[in-house]
Formats: sequence, structure tokens, C-alpha cells
Amino acid sequence: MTYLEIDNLVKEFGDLTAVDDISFTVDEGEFVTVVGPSGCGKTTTLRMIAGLEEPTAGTIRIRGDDITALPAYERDIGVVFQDYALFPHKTVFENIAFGLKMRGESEARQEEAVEEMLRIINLEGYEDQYPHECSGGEQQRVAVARALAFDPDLVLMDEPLSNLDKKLRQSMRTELKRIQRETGVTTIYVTHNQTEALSMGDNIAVLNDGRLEQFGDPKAAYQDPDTPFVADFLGQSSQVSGTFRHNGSGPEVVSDTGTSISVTPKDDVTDGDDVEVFLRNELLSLADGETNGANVFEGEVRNVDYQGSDVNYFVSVPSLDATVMVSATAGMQQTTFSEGTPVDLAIDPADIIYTHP
Amino acid sequence: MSGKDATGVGREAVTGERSTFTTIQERVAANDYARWLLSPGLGLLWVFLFLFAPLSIIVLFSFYTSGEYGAIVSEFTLANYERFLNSPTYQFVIAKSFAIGVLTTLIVLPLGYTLGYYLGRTETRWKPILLGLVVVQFWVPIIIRTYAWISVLGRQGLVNKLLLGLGVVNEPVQLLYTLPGMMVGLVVSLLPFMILPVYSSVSTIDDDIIQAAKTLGATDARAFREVTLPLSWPGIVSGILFTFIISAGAFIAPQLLGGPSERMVAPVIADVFLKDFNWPFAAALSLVYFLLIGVALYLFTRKADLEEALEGTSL
Repeated sequence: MTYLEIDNLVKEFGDLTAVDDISFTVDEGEFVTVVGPSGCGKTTTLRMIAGLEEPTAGTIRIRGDDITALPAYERDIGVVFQDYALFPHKTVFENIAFGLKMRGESEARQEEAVEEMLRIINLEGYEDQYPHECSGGEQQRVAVARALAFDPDLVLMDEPLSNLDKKLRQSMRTELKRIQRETGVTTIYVTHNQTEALSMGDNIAVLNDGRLEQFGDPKAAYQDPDTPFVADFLGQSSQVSGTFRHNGSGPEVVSDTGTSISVTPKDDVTDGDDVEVFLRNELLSLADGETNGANVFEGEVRNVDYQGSDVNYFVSVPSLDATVMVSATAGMQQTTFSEGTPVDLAIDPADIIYTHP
Repeated sequence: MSGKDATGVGREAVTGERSTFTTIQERVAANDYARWLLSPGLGLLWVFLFLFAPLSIIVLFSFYTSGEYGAIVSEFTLANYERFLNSPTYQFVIAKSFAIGVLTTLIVLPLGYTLGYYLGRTETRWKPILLGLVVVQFWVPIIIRTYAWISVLGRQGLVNKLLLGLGVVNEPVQLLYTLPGMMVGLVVSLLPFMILPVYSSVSTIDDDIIQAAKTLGATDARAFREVTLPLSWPGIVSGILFTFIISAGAFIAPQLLGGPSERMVAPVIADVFLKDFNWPFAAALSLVYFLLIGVALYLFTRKADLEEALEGTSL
């Protein structure tokens, strides 16, 4: 059932259109990630849902009620800010209880709710601490607890993990998902991190330049992107332009350099269409001997980038007139290719992503 | 930059090249003259010379006997304090000065807070100019600024011309040499002392914190009371201290704008010093007022919970 409905939302700042006609819907209890490069309008969208920014056009509905004109304090929407925005002069207890206090809840009810939240975020006993006495990760969790404690209709998170170091970010990601499952609150989570967006979202919204490029299942967005932007933004790949057609043995894309790349058919692409082909780094494999399969391209290793768990090879492929990046797992036994080695690049036709330009 | 690294570099630098000093602390630490200047002992000496010594002299004088023709006779006496305790006139002047200090502060606080708050939160491009207008007051000597009010408040002044022109009054109103006239001068000259500390504390409040309060259900007024006001408390407290201390000891405004019944303690003490040449009694009066103000400020800062107010603001 549709819970939150964003309809043709537009936000203009003077001549600049920050959000350009965005529509999507969110079901109750769903976790939606909004991802895009900086300046794509994701934070503005979030601020409009929170009531901190007035839309130029469009409507926002929760359970069918139009809340577009409501001021922030009359919406029951919790917000987790990028810099947490905890009240520095209030204790952890007072911070978390703030939403309840504003709603005139009794002290007993406040205590009960704060205790419950502290249990959920694993910070029991922190009631009397001040925010500056807490670590970054703890402040982060207090900010989440504060946004959840008054039992909001919706929680919005604006890049909440971007100020944490990499290890903490990883564990907080799991932690946030756990908290969201435990409370069952509908959540919209803004990030510029593709991994975060793909791993956390039940649905993912990809924004670029104020427009919604794709909305839906993260797996579908990664494997079957609607636009070249989505294909390029989610994951790492090398891009080749070409024309789609059928030959005797099946569908293929003929690259602008004349090389044939076998692909699997797609409903919306017909013969003669110009397409953009994306070769995902991790779906390409390298071999120095015999390879069989539909797509094999000859190339030469130009650069090796050893990263511990992975090795990235930059392979120049003359037939595609491109330098293709290949990621391989760096096992202890596996041979690594050195610079200058001639190699064969292979990729399964089913693994090839292509879209209309 | 990390302190450890810096010290390491500094130590090498002492034995090696002088030009590799990285921080100002190291430069200072390596400079014998600067170290001597900044040593704690010297600091104490400064305090002693410039604060404690003059005060001690006042204390000492207040127990001396005043001789004829302004002579100060070093004979211990309590006569100066007895004279004060038996003189309702002087007691009244002191009480009145204190009250005027409180009144000025009560008027300056809301006005200064409003302006400081506006300057701290506004994003108008006029902000630097508005701030400049506040600061520029300090460039003009207070005596000149106060003189300017005479031409505004006088019988032929701007205010009276306006009131007469509008037909509000039929004859000029006496504004100069009255309490309201003097208050105008005091309030205007002390406004910057409230505006600037409030401005500096309000402008450091992160906008997100106020918005967070709103998303949690606080109306604008509630967010102000719960967040903005407590976070600007340190600015308010220093503004109050400045305003009260300066207005309670005002000298020029009561002299130029106040009438005979607005005599305040500072000019009165000056008269006892300079016209009566009674230094011991003037010293006693100064000391009584000094203690009164000191106790009041002590009680105020304790009540104001300055420590508590500052808790957490150093996020």
C-alpha cells in the first residue's frame, strides 16, 4: 500500500532548478535510498519532505494526506542530519526526549521512550552524558534515536554516515538497518555512496542533475539500468558506444570501431538502435591462454593496481579503441599479470549491460 | 597539525637551522625575551602593578585622615566610613547609580539582543555594513557622541522640532537634563556592548540545530526558547556584564545629559577628589561602590550559571 507519495516535485532556486519533476512512492515500513552525485538535488528533495524547504511545485502526501503546505513542526517526520545537529547544551536524555517533550508527553512517558531507544541503540547508561562527551559513532546513534523516539510517520536520513571512518561506517550500516527493522519505521536515506545505497535500500532512487533517473529494486538498477547515467554511476565499468542489430547467431552490438559484441536481447531495444555498452570491471575475466565463449577481446595489460583483496588491471583493447578496467580477486595462488602481458578479455553476453544513450 | 610532530621538529630546530620553526609557540619558546615576558611570575607582577597596587592605595587612603587644604595625613581613622554611613545623600547617590546601571541593562538587553540576533542570523549582503555601523561607534569618542545628543534632545533639538511640527506638543518638551534624556545617551552608547557579544554567540549556532528542533515538533518560538536562547546565553551574560559595569560607573552621560537630580556616583566621587580635595573620603566612597558592584556581579555570575551555560557549547 502506498504510504508516502511524492508527486511531480520541483524546486527552483532563482534560475537554478535543483529538483526537476521528481515522483516516486514509498510503502509503509520500506527503506528507500536516494543516491546521486553531489548537487543532484537529493538533499533538497529530503528537506522538502521534512518541511524545511518549500517546493516550487508538486505535492507530498503521507497516507493520502497532503502535507505539502504543513510547516516542519506539524509533520511527524524525524530527520537525522549529516552533522547530527544534536543540541550541544542538552544531555543525551534531553536530546532524545525532545520530540516527546514538544508533543507535551508526560515525563514518565519520556523516560520510558528514552530508555527504550537507548536499549535499541545500545547506549544504556548514557542519559546524562553531553553530546561532546560521546564519540562520533555514539553521537550518530543518539541522533537516530532522537529522530525515532517520538514515533514519527517517517524518518529521513541525510548522509548520516559520511562523517564516520570506513570501519565504523560499515558497522553503522548494519546497525541502522537493524534499528530500522526493529522499529519498522518507513525510512528515506540519502547518500552519495553507491555501495550504501545498493546494500541498504529496499528500493533505490538514482538522481542526477535534479531528475530521477531510475527508481526501484537495487538489483535491477545495477543489473538492468534504465539510463547510461545509472549504469555508469552504480558500479565501475568501461563504456563503449555502438549499434544494436541481429546477426545469424543472435543479437549483438557492433561497436563504433566495428567490433561485434554478443549480447542478450532486451525488450526496448530494436535493430538499428544506438546503444551504450557497459563492461562491468568485476564481470570481465582475464586469461593468457585459451578462452572460449562468445566475447573475447585481445588486449595488453597497461597498468596494474594492487589493492590487497583485489587487483585492478587496465587493459588496452585495440579492437574497442578503449582502455578497459578489470577487477580480479587477488588470491594467494593466482598468477597476477604484469604490465605488458598480452591477455584475452572475456565476458559472458548475459553480463553485458547496454542502454539507449 | 599534530603537537608531537611539531615538538620534534622544534627540538631539532634548536640545535640546527633556526628557520625551521613551525609554530608560533616554538618561536616564542625559543625566544628568551618572549619567555620572560610571558612567564607566570611576570603576569603576577602585571596584576600587582596595574590592579592590586592602585587598589591597595585606595584602600589605604580610605583609612587616612584628611587634613586641611587637601593634605592626606597618615593617621588611621574610620571617620571616612562613618561619614558615609551618616550621610543619606551619598548613600542615595550610590543606590541611585546602581539602580540606573540595572535600568540601563534592562533596556539595553532586549534591544541589543534583538539587533545582535538579527545580525547573527541574517544572510543579507548588507551584513558587513550593518556590523560596521555598530563597530564604528567605538571610533568616535564617547564624549563627542554624547554631545551630539544635546543637539538632538535640546529645546531647539531635532526631537522637539519634530514633535512641534507634527503638532503633538505646543511648546518644547524638556528632554535634556532629565532622567529619560540621560537614559537615551546611556542606552545608545552601551548598545554595541550588548550587540557584539550576542552577535558572536548567535552567529556560531549551527542552522541545522535550530531546524532539527523544528522537525522534532518545536514551533519557531519554542525552538528559540529551547535552542537559540540557551546557546546564546554566554553572549547575553557578557553583554550584561559590560553594560552594567559601564553604565553603573557612567561619567559623561550624567554630566552632559542628566540634570542635578541625575547625579551619579562617578562624577560625585570625582568632585570629592578634585573640588573638595578630600582624597580619603573619595577613596572610601570608591571602595564602597567597588564592593557593592563586586558582590552584585559575583551573585549574578553565580546565578547565571556561566559554567553550566558553557557546558557543551565547545562541541
